[in-house]
Order: sequence, then C-alpha cells, then structure tokens
Amino acid sequence: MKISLVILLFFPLTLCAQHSERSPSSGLNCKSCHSCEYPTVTNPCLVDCPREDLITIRHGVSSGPNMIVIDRFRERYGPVVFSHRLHAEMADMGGGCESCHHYNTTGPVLACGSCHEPGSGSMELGMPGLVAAYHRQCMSCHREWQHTVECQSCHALSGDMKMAAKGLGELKAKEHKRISEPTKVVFKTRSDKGSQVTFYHDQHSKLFGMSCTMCHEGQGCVRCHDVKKTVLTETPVSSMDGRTTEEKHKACFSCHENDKCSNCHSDVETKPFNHAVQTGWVIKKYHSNLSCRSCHGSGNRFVRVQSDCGTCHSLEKKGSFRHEVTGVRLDDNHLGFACEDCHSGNRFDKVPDCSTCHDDKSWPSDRPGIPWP
Amino acid sequence: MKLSRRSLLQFGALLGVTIAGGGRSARGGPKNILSDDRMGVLVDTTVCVGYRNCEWACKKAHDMSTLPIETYENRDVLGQFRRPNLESLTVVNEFPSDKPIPIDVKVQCMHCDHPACVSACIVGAFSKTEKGAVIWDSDKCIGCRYCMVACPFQIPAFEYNKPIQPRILKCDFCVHRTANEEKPACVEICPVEALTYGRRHDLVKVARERIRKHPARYVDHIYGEHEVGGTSWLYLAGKDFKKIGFPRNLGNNPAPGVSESIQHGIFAYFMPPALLYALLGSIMWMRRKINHEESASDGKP
Ligand code: SF4
Repeated sequence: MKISLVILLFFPLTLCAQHSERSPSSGLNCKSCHSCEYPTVTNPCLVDCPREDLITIRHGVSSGPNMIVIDRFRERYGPVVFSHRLHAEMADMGGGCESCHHYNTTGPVLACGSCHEPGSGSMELGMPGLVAAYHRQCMSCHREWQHTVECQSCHALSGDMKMAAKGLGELKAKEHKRISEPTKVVFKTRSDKGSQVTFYHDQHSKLFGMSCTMCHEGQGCVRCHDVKKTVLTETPVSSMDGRTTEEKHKACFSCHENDKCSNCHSDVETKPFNHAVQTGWVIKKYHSNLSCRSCHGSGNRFVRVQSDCGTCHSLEKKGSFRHEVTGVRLDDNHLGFACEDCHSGNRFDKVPDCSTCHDDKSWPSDRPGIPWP
Repeated sequence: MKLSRRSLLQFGALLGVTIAGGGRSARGGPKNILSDDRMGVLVDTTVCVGYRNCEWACKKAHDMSTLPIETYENRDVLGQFRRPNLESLTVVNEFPSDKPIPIDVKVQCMHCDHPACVSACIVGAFSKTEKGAVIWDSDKCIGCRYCMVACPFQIPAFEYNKPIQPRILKCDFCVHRTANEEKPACVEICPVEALTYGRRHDLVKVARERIRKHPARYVDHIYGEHEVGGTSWLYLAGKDFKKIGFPRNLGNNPAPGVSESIQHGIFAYFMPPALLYALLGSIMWMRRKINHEESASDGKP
C-alpha cells in the first residue's frame, strides 16, 4: 500500500522531470529525433532525417551495400551503376560515412531517398530533391579530379544496357587499393632545439586512434585521383623548407601545442612511444585492451590521469570495476566495501588485509568470494 | 550670349531635377506594389556546375531558336564573359576560384524591387508585378532604350537588327509559367538545384541558414537582399561578389533615384518645357530689343 502511494506520488514527478526539451546528458534536443510531444517505447515517432548534427556512428564498409543501380528515373536516363563499396572504402580513409550521408541517427545509415524526395524539388524549401542530391554528391568529388563531368561518366547511354551489365561485373569485383601508411617519418630540421623529428605515423593512426582527416584535412579523392595531377606534384610533406614556423608545426600543434620542444626535436632518431618509459606506468594485461581514449579523455590532447586506481575505479561509479577480473568474484558481504577497506593505502600490489574487520581470517586461505572464472 | 541646343537641354534637365527636388519625392512614377508574398529565386553559386541547361530551358520556354541540349555540354563558351542578349535571356559565366573547381554564375534580370528600368521608362512599358517579376509590354514601348541605360546590371537587350517594331528582350521570370503554378523553366531543369524558387522572404531565411551552417563555404553576404533596394533574385557565393562579375559599388539605395528624378523632373507638370519656352521667348525678346536699338542707332549717322 505504502509503496503504491509512493509510486503514485512520484510517477508524475519523474515524468515532469523527464520531459524537458533537452536531454541533459547529451545536449541534444528531443525534437531532433522525435516528432511527437510524448514519445513512448511503442511509438517513438522518430523523425526520418534529423537535420542536426547527431551522434555519428561509424559503420564498417561491409555493412553497406556493394552495388547500387539507380534506375528510378528510367524513362529519362539510363541506369547509373554505382559501386557503393568502392566509395565506402574511400570514405573510410577520409571523412567516413558522413561525407555523403551527412547526418545519422544511431540506427542504420539512411539512404539518400529516405530524406530527399524523388524527382526534383522538395517540400522543404531549399532542400534538394533526390535527383539534385545525387548529382550534387557525385559531382562535388568527380568535378574536383576529373575537372569536367559528362553525363555519360555515370549514366549509361540508353540502349547501352549491355555495357552497363559488363561494367557491373567489373565493378563488383573491384576493390579500392589500400593506402599504405608509413611506420615512421623522420623530418630533418634546421632547428637548434634538435635537428630531427621522428614521427611515428602508425602509432598516431592506430594506437592513438587519430583519424586520417585530423592531419590530412581537405585532402579528399583529388589528392590521389586528380587527372591533372596538380595536387600530387606539390612538395612532399617531409620537406619543410620554405614554410613558416607556424605552417611547419600546424599539424602537430593541434595536440602538442603546450609540449616542450624536446618532446619531438632531438639530434638522434627517437624511439616510438612506450607507456612504461614515457609515463612510468606499466600497462599490464588488464589495461592492455583499452584504447588510449578510455582513460585519457576524448579531446585532442590526452589528459594525464593519476596512477591511483580510484581515479577510474571508484565504487560510486557503479560497474566501473569488475572485481572478478582479478580472479575473485566478491560475495554479497564484501561487494559494498570501498577498495581501501581491504587494500589498505590503495596498494593493490600488496596482499589484502583482512584484519581490519576479521580477527580470524587472512589472505589467501580465506577468500572474500569465489574463484573466478 | 551663345546657347547651343545641347547646353539648353542640359539646362532644362537640371532645372527639372531642381524642381522635382530629389528622386524619392518624384511624382507621376508608377506605384510600386511590393507584396510580402512576392516570389524570388535563390541562386547558390557554390552548387552551380555550369551545365547551362538553364540557358537551353529558357530558350525553349520563350520559343527562341536553340541547338539541342547536348551541345550545351561544351564548356568552351564559359571561357569568355557573356551578358544576356537577344539570343539568350540568361547566360552562365565561369570564374576562377582558389578551390579545384571554378565558380559558375548564372546571370539574368534581377527583378529589382525598385527597378530602374520601370522608372526610366517614359511610357510605362515596364512594370513590376505583384508576384515579383519585372515585365515589359511591347504595345507601349516606343524603342527609346532608356531602360538599357538605366539598368544597373545591363540586362535589357534591344533588337537593333529589326527596323520594324523592335523589341526589348530580357528575362521575364517566366510569368506565363508561374501563372500556372509552374516553376520558372531554368529552376525546373537545373540538375543540381542550384536555383530555389520560393517566397523572397523565405529565401532570405534559407540563405541565412546556409551561411550560418557552412561559414567556410559562403561569404557572409546575400547579394540582392539589399543591393539597389533589394532584388527578387538572390545570390550566395563562396567568393567576394565583385570578383565573380557582379557590378561594384551599387549601394543599397534603389537605382532609380537618379534616372527617376531626371525623367520625372523633366516631365512633371509640363513645367520645364514651359520654362524653356519662356526662356527662349525672353532671349528672342531681348535680341529684338537689341536689334531695334542697333537699327535705331544705325539710322542716326
Ligand atoms: S535588373 Fe535591370 S532590367 Fe531587371 S528589373 Fe533590375 S533594372 Fe530592370
């Protein structure tokens, strides 16, 4: 009875609290995703295409379609055979799915036609119809490197269906060449702070999880595909002569602006980054699967964390630490304690101390739970 | 005192301006009804690809002769700067940009909110319709070509090659199509929808929103929002408008200011001609008097 009263009193309150226009955690406006006033689980009334920057989920190349044949406008044009996968592979090296599918919900990637209405013109003023959306998307890159685009570069001439079929087979098998990345690049400099900068390219991309575009900004397809080759014949990156100090440091400074010169400059080639050497913290097996970002924040600059375990693993942050990874699953009696209660001084390399509470128990003969797994 | 015909006319015009006392108060000009729902077109030059399908569609819609649409794929014409003329009421020009792709700009009548051509026309052959179009009536035109001089964008073209009933030609905003709720021909055919047809007020909002969302893509300027008092056709661009063929230093005051004050000044209340005759009369009278005196003195040896 009491409980139901509490629920009755509380329910409207919680409803009110929940129904604020902005979700407090994400800063997103509810109306960006839901069209109705009170979305429910059974009727979430999700809008098709939220025109706000949403959380962008990266999908793998293989989760998209391989080939798409655009023949919606059959009466007027021959079908366009579009290798989605080939383009997705290119996007994967650059801006990701959102280079074409500009906005995304957490669900599957939306096809162009789910927002852009077929035919030309659209209900929403200024939003291109499907035809224009296709054209804009294709031409924006193709014009950059082809410098001209004839209709036939995409549209099969009518009556030329055999050609289209042949192309289809070829395209299906075609894969985009992987761009091979250097392990390291050594820059020779004239700086008196050290004549060399050893840059570990693969560590930055793989270990530190930087996307290509963070440094190679605006170097789209045209960088490799330009038929006039104007872009590629530019000075290669490793030659820094003739650039201002600011230009030389631009790519590095987006993260390393406040670092000492000696962090990068040296008179000899430096070794790759090693967590134990550079930070004094050895990454043992429990942390080795984590990405840098899971401890050091999501910003460009990694945030220094205290070596104290409690920084990340406090009991207030429920579920942030699963004790069973240590080989012991805590029983209910011990689950609520602070780490320090057993591991005095938060020293986890020492044997846990049972004597704080128990006179007759000691590690390892008495365990506060069951062996796991 | 020697007075040439030319300086007399100049004097008369000046007198007219003084009498009219500035353009804004000019009397007798056609009443300008500017509906809040007047239509316009937003041209996004960052989207335009220079396919010139609009040029073809315009000719088709106006029963003008044209080569087949495929021939418009030839981009050589984009090499030289063109203006709308007797053969094309709209043209696309290309300008270099800092990016790998050039900038293409469609040109046609801007359909000014306070059109210079309308006020320059002494017989009222030009008019601004409530829906936004500036149109021209062949029955009234006397072929004076004042509109051509007055237009700040050098749009109206004249059929010099036709001795009988030459016409003034310019974009008419496809009034025959829009009357049937169809879009202008150029807007409808554009394969990338670089042109958006809609209420001018809404288009300004759309344009502002695009600039807000993509500050790197656009210069913060909607050309035509304020120029010469506002135009029905609006432009967005990624480069300074002066560098992509738009006239410099037009200012935000309606262009008719000058032409209107001269025109209407000269003709208001028939005053200047009356004054002119009075002036001529007095000159004649004075000369007669002098002649009289001279002959009188001649008679006295
Ligand atoms: S652009 Fe020229 S022709 Fe067109 S309305 Fe304005 S003044 Fe008249």
